[in-house]
Amino acid sequence: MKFSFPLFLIFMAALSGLTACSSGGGSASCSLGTGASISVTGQITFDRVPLDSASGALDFANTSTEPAQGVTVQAVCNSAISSATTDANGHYSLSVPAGTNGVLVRAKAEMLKTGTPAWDVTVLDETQTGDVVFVMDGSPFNVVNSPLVRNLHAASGFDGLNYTTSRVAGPFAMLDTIRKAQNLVLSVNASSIFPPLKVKWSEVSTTGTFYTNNTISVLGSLADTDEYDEHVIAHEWGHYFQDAFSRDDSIGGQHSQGNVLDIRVAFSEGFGNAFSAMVMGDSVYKDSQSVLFRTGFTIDVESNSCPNEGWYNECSVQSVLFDFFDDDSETSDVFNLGFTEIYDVMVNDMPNSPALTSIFNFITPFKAKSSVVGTDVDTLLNAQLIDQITDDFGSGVTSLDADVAGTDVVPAFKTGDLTTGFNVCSTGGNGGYNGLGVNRFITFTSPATDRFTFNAVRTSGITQSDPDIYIYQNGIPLGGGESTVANSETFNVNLVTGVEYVLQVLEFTYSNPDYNPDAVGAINETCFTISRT
Amino acid sequence: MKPVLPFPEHRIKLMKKYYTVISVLIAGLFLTGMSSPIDDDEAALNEPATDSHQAKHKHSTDYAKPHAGIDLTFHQSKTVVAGESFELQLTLRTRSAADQLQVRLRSDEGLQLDSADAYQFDTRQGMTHSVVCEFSALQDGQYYVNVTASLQIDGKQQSRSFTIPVTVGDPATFKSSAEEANSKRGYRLDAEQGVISMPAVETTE
Repeated sequence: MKFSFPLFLIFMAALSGLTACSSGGGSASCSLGTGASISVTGQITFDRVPLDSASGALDFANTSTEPAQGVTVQAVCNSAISSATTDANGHYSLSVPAGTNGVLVRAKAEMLKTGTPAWDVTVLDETQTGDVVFVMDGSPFNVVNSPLVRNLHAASGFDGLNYTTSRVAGPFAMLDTIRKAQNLVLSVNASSIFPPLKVKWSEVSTTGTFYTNNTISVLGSLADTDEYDEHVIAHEWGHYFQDAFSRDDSIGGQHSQGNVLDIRVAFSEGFGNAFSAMVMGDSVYKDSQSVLFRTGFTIDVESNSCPNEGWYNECSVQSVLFDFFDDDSETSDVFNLGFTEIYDVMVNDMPNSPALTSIFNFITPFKAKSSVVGTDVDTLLNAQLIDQITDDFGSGVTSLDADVAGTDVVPAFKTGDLTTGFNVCSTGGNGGYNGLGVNRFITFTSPATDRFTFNAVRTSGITQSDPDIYIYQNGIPLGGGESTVANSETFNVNLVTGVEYVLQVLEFTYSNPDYNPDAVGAINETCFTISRT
Repeated sequence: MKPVLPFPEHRIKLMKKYYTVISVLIAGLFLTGMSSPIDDDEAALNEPATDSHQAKHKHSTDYAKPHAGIDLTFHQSKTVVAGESFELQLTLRTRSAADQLQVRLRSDEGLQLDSADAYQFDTRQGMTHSVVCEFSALQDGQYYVNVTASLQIDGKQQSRSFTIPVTVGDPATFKSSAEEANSKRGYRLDAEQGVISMPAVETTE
């Protein structure tokens, strides 16, 4: 077949179209000049959509333009030929050789700094396989001999009624909140080295907003968008902080303000809520919900009115922590400490505690700080129905709200003679998985360096029970027994003399997040004799 | 008849390697699907919990954001095709005592909600509430029903939003929603540079 000229043109046009499609910014046809360096400067900005202070809903009418601070900007001529970081006003300065044709300015959804301090935060497209970073591209242009100014703005894409164009501002808004969170930590320790953090988001993301393994996933679908929800992003960054700089033994899971929670979860989430308010300098946590309905909700972490208050409640934890931080004086609150002591305890004390992380091993070292008056702490805690805390295990803390279920949920860390065995009960009455009492903790000191066998044998409760046992040293799991043998569990482990360990016992039925304690016929407490040989 | 040529030994070994790799990948895909963490907000199908070694301890260790103590499960009446109406039963369970539960629904463009879009329940009368909604779609596609549920507790409101996927027609015949959304928005993927490009509003001076 003859290859006619018109066909050749069509072929070339198709080829060029394909090239443009895969160029990521139309810079594939760029040719690099050889002339002197010409400066290309400008400002990178983004739309910040605030949340209504009363309802927590997105308030598009009050959208403001903010500088994108500390983000990477590149001159792209097929690939990056010059790179810079924006300053506090979003300004950048790049150099491009004169004679370059088809170069473009690209702002990456990335904050990167090496040296001391250091950080590495990227916003990735959650719909893509692998790490694909969001970037905002300008149009290709030619560089002759004069300096150029090119400003890039990331728009929200909202037209007054709906999102109608790309939600370009989202990734830059999230980075900005993370910058604020980093700054709170840097205000205490200017040499902080932040481990790499990935943020995964997309306009269709429905996988939830949560933190796990150096990654924050953020909702983007219209049912619930979180990219502008600064308290929500800061809350999740708080989990990253705990993971990277402190210790967090929380088992995570769903949670809300009135829940009676596992102590590890109550502390972790209460810290996240309080931390978000500290970062934002705004005690009212706001979470916009549906863009379609313009709804949202708020939590005032300064409020001392908590449903089911106590050491097992994230609301009580957030209230206490924020009172330590803020400079408002209220009844029972005489504190105005800022973040320094909180940071000190979380970074230097909690990681070394033999107990699992909770308000107990936060408060104990906190009270020992020279700037803290212990009796003032006791007063603040008592206002949340929390007895005086004297050690990492909360020994002697027994007060419970009337709505707390279970006959054996205090003390939080039980002690007893393991050689003869003693009774421990797991309860699902406060909710499955992370409800208080699903996991019961026993603390003990190993009498010898030896191999020991731990046994759990059912004494009452669910007829075909399934106990499981785990053991921890300073929050690190050493192993566990999780067989499906009915009504008993056995577990062997090597222990070291004089070391304090925590044994965790649970009835597997209650560890299901969907466990319904209100279901007809539900047996919400199952007890076991725990012994060691 | 064409003669069958014997494979050289190294090719057979290579094929075995490919076979193994492909098998592992397929198995991996299946396992990933089976052990995916429970989505926070994409509602999960109501499947009975099983107590076996495989089902054990697959819980989420995700640190989720706070929200109202409301769980949602759903059941779609049948597999549907375009033009047919179908029912979606939503079951909402509140985890703690509250005064009132409000539910609002909105469907994606192209999926029509043929029943009420708002419901209200007195949660003091019970913690589990069901809603049966009717939908229809004129075209096959992957749609989403957005549900926002709010609790009033002591005059304070807490909310939780859910996204329910609804498939109309054969999923093999339509694009993924992510791909579609990206192309609608003018995003361009540059796999080589590992970036997804969004258009800036650019001004020059």
